[in-house]
Formats: sequence, structure tokens, C-alpha cells
Amino acid sequence: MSLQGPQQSSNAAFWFDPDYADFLDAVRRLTPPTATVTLTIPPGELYLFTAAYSLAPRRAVLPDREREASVLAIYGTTIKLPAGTVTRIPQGFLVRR
Amino acid sequence: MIQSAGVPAYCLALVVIWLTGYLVSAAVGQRLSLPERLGWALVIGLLAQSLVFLVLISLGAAGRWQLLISDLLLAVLAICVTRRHGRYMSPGQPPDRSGMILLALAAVGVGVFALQALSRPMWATDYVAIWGLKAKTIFATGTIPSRLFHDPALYWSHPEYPLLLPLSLAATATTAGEWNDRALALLYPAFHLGTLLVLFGFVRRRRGFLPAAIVAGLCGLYFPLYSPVHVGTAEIPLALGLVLLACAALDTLEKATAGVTTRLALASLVCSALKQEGTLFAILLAGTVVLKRRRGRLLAAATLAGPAILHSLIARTAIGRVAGRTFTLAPLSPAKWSDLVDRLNTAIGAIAGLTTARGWVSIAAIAGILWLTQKSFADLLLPPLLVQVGVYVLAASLSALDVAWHVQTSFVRITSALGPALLVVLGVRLGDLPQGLFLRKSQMGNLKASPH
Repeated sequence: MSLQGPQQSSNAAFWFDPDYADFLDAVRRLTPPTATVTLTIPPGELYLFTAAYSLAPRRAVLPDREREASVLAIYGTTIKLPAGTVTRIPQGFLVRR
Repeated sequence: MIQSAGVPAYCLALVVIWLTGYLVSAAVGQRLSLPERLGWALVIGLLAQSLVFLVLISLGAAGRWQLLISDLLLAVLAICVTRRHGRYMSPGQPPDRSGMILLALAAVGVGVFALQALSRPMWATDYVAIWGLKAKTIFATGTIPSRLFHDPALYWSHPEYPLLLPLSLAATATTAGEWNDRALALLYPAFHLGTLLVLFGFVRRRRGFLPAAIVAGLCGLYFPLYSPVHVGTAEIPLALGLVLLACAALDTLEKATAGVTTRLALASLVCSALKQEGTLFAILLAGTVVLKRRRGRLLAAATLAGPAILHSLIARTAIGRVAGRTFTLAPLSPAKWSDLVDRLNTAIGAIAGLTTARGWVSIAAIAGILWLTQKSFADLLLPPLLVQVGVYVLAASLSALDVAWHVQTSFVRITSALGPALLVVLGVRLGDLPQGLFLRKSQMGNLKASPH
């Protein structure tokens, strides 16, 4: 089934942080639908909920479950990057183990 | 560049679902007016679509064409089985100008809500975190992954919630051929319209055109429920389910034919499969029915409670035990009753703080109508509605999170879903007012006797 319909969740659901939409869109494009993605994101349920929805059917987890993930998505640009293959994406980084 | 099919594809999907439901509902649509048939058709269509989708999922064949072919087969089967059943009931009392104005206002209300719903992708927190997340996952994988119920990382998505809404959303998207969370919002104005049609049809059938038009107008303009913040949540479809349940229960107590009893069972199943609040209402209404000294009350009560309890048991068996983290029962122990009292005070205070001046006026108006009008057969719905609100207050006081926060984020939403069911009571009561209050003398002579 196609998820190719316009991913328009960005504007309405991301009223709290419009840049977050671009970040998640990039994570979605660069990861397979079966991936488990660890998210380093600001605290607050809205960041987690919108990530889980936008990235579905991928599994989105917080850093406390990092060992269950093959990909780390870091939102923001002022953090020390962990080891792995790093890809610069809008508003952050994608790190593949 | 892949062109999105968008709203037209979803319109077509909705037509397929509605048409399939209309044909299937003929088997249980005896004694219903056309507006009621159309309201039932939407719900039965979505229920049938979801059940077919569930079967296809279990066979590993949850694709667009498989679903469309299944719909076609279902429609053909429905035509073959039901062609001997009668037509819908004729409306009886003719329309008048005042009523037509009210219906026009209702249509404006539905239109405004439709524009608001479709103006942006669904964004409500409950949609993103619960219903949409589950629906999108089911749609994208063609399965119902067990992690939706057992993944500790998804504890906040209410894994204990029933699945009819996510299945309906996923099945509709599958029928349309793509996931489009803006076009999918089409379902919500459809739910609004379905609720209005059932309310209007039932009250017109039982009381007359003008009271039916009044409640239709009130439903069309019921902005506490039909607002953009509730698009994507379960409360709007639940409101339709509760109205169907209420109307079917009242019809069953009047005359429990096979068709009417089946409608009651379907409505109970739909309500319980949408949300636990639906199960609660079905059981409360069953309890109220049992206490009435009416013939057929035991059958009606069993039909109300049976599907709701059966659905809960089947879901529990299929999914396994799911830990809910929303509530704590600790304050119910005798040693903690003082804590419970404090929590209740906090909940009641928070509810009072939420109630605006307009809310108090509405409550006073409802109380005034109930005081001024005579008791009617529809008053059966009042005790379960009141108890349901009481349970909501108690549940808020048992919140595992902050009680005031729980009230502020959910009380108005879940309570507003009861409004359309209350309109059934008000519509029937208004129909008992002296005709002279509604009609000019020149119209009195043309008035047909209403069925009841």
C-alpha cells in the first residue's frame, strides 16, 4: 500500500515546532519501513507522538531503548555525534550503526 | 512525481462503503425512515468493511482490489438476501417552513465542519498518538502488529483501546489506495451527517417533522463536539454509535422484531468496538432497561449487553492482557477514601472551572426543556446518560496522572459525545408540546397524526 500521498502532517501537527517536520520527513525518506529508530529529541510528548505517527510503520523509541535500534536520529545541531555512518539531514543527523 | 489521488479517491471509497452498507442494512432496516437508513448504512458499511479487512489481514491479503472485490461480493449477497424486505417507512407529517429553515441551518453546520475538517491534515493529539498511529501502522504493514498492544515503547498509545476506528481508517485508506491523513478526515463530516440523519429520521418517525428539524438543527450546530480539535478522535463516531444504540433500544422496547433486535445488537457491538465508553453506555442502558416493567425488557437488555461483553472477551482473548496506565484503583481502598474525596473535589472543581457561561446556559436550557415538557418513552435514556457522566467524574478522580490535567484534556471531549444521544430525549419530548406552539392555525388542519 502506498504511503506516497502527500505527507502533509507537517504543517498542522507540527504547530509547536515547524522545523521538526522537515527533520522527520528526512528520517522517513532515508530509513526502511521496518526500521527501529532511536530519537534524540527535546522532551515533551508532542515530539514523541508526532515522530511515532510520522515515521509509522517504523518503530520510534527514545534513547533508553537505543540498543533495540539500528538507526539514531538526532534533532538539533549542537551535540557530540556518536560512532557510526553519519548523514547530515535537515535540522539534524542520521547515524547508522 | 507520483500524483496523489487525494480527496476524490477518498470520496469514491466513502461512496463504496456507504453503498455497501446501504445494501447490507436492508436486512435490518425494517420500519426505518430513509434518513435513518442512510445513517445506519454508514456505520454498517464501515463495520462490514472493517470485518472484511480483518479477514483479509488474517489471510495476508489486505490489498485494495481484494477489499473492493469483497465489497462487491458483499453488496451482491446483500441484494440477493434482502430483496424481499420492505421499503423504508414513509415520513408522515409533511415539512413546514420553520422546519426547513432549521434543516438548512443544520446543513450549514455540517458544511462548516466539513470545511474545517478538510482544511488541514488531522492533527489532534489523540489522532496522532492513538487512532492515527494504529491505523497508519495497520495500513502500511497490512497486518495488526502485536507491538501495538505489547510494545513498552508505545505504552502512551492506549494499547487497551478497541480497534474499530483504526480498522475503519485503515480500511478506508486501503480502499482509496493511499494514506492521506487530510482526505481521510472526510469520514468525520460523514459521521456528523450520519448522526444528524438518524436523529432527524427517528424523531420525525416517532414525533413529527418540526421537533425532528429542531434536534437536527441542534446537532448540526453542536460545535462542542463537531470542531476541528476532535477530527481524528473516537468521540465523533462514538456519538453516532450512541444515537444508533439509543434509537434501536427505544424501538426494541416498542416492538422487538428480528430486524430491530439485530440493529440493537449491531449498535452495541459498534459502540463497544469504538471505545470503552461505548461499552459502558451499553451496559448502563441494559441495566436501566432491566429495571423497567416492560415486556421484552430482558431480551432488550441481553441484546444491549451481550455484544458489548462478547466483544471485550474476544478482544481480550485475541490480544492478551494489556496493561492500562491511565487509572489507579488505590484510592478506592477504604484506607485511602480521604484521598478519594480530595481527588473528587479536585475533579469537580476542575470541571466547574472548565464550564463557560455558554455551557451553563446550555445546561439551564436542557433542564428547562426537561422541566417544561412531559415525560416520554425516551426518558429511559436519561439515567444511563447521567450515570455515565458520573462515571467520567469518578474516573477522572482515579487518574494515574494529575487529576486536574486529566479533566482539562479529556472531560469536555468525552462528555460532549453524549450530547447527540441526549437530543433523542429532547426531540421526543419536544414532540409532545401542544401543536399550537409550532404551527399556525392554517397548518393545523393539514396535520397528519404522527405514528406515536
